[in-house]
Amino acid sequence: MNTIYILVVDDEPPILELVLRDLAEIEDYFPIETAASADEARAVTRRLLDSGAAIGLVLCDHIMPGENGVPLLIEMHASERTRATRKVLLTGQAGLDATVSAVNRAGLAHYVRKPWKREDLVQVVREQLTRFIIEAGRTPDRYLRVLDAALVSEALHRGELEILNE
Amino acid sequence: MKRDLDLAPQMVLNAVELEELRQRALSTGIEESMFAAGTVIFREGQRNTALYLLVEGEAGLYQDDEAGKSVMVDRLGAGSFLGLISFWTGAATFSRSVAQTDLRCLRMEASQLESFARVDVGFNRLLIANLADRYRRMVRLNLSVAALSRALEDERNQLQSALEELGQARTRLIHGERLATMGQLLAGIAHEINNPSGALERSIEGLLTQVPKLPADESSRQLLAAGAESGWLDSATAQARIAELEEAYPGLPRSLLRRLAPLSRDVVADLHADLLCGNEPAARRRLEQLLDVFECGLNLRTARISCERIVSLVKSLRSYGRPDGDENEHVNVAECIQDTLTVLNHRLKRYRVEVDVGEIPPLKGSATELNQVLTNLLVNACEATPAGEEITVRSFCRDGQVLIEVADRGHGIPSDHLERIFEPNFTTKRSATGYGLGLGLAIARDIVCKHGGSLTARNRTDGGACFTMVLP
Repeated sequence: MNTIYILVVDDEPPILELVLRDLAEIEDYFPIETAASADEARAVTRRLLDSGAAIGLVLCDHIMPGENGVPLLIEMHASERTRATRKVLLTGQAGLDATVSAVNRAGLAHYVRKPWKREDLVQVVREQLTRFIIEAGRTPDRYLRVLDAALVSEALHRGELEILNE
Repeated sequence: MKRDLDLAPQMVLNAVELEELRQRALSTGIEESMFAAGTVIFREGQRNTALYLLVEGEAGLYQDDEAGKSVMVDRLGAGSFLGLISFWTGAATFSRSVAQTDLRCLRMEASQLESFARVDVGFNRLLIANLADRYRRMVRLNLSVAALSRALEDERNQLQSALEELGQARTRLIHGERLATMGQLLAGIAHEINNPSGALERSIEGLLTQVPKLPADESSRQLLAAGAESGWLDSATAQARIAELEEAYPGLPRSLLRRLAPLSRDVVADLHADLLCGNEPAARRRLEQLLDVFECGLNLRTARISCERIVSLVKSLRSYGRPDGDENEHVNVAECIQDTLTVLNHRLKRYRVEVDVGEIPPLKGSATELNQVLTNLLVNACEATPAGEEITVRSFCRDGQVLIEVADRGHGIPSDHLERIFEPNFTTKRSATGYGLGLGLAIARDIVCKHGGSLTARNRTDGGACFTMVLP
């Protein structure tokens, strides 16, 4: 079974460090890769996908040096290989325009306002990864400890998910 | 504006000819009538059975305007006929005839006129001349009306532009007022943040010296110090370290590999092998404990660096927007540039900002105002430049003057706009050139001029625009 990654894109090292720390317990199930710019994110995405891995979630900063995060998300949404990736914008100051364009054109799933609370971020990430698993039709078994239990049981109920081992 | 209509009566016959005509008329039995000055000869709307030929004096024709005010519409002198049209057409008189001076007239009944006109060539000539004169006067009148309308139009245009200038002045005042208010607000906020950030700074300093002194074993102390002095790993290095560690210690979960990644190889090598290779809960707990200590150091480092950022931002905000800024202080240009760059950091982040500030002697002027100009130029540069491209700020001395340049990598400015962009209300914001210029540049130039300098724009040969401020 190929690995499902989380990609975190932010130009500020302290912010990356914070995200990594907050998501530490999730990382044992969904390894995290980081990038400091949109370009680096593209390179990481290519590398991961070419190695046969999947990207379940991208957490992307909005304002970064050079290109900002929204075009990157739009591009990922337009690409076949990353359309299913759940997209979350991490933002300190997204204006209405950027948000509207991210929602409409990048299939934005959520947006997290900086500064965030650890449990809020963890909850958003768990929920989005759960949705990714459900939509991808993956067996959730080995991720159950970190997935959103309510969403999983709903999906099981509707027959959208199947648990193999139990 | 007042312009008199040329209503002066014209002599259609010379005095001698007129006198001869009068003698001939009197000899046929036509009588003379005298009117004292002010007498009304005809009223409006009267039927008129006699024609008067004015021989001496002057009569005025009057009509009431829409407001009921009496207006003189014509003046008639010797040789002119009174009641000509009403007499001939039988229609009611349409204006009032009044003697302006004492008048002497020949009064002709219809029967007298017919016989006199039939024989007297001079009279017929006079009649035609009268009509011709009236026509000429009408033409002149129309010309006067046209001239009047033109004058009125000019006046209206002048008023219009005066009104526009007033509007612009008002907008500038409001703009200035708003900037002043914002400056005060900014300084107020900066002041409020200053105290807690100062306290924070001192607390972190305290922690940095006190925490290492807490009773602890040697490896904890080392890890704490390593954390406090640690830099930030870039993504690629972190990834490589995780892969390296995973190979060396395959039993460790990813989350622990991630936490070990920032540790230097030496520090990891110093850790007891049992902690890294073993799987016993006690060893795992100990490893996590040591990592907590290391991360405690990391936290102290992050707190210190973030606090330094807040302190320098607050410092920049305080000098940037100082509302009581002296108009004639000694201004440090390099500091102004640095403060403005700090305050605009959130916008400039998207560009490559090249700063080249040489040795600049202090200027006389207002730092706050200079910051305002720099802010305006930098914001314009951001709007013109595509993300990721370069924005350059240069400052240097030449011929005893200080030059400050802000250059962008936008589309440049059409050559016929290079001067116009400094006019108030000139903007191409909605057009394709991408320069959002409303009042900003006009105000910027005002400020630079007030400092005895100049602000000009030019296009760079290699693309983009460059604004140059020259200050004495």
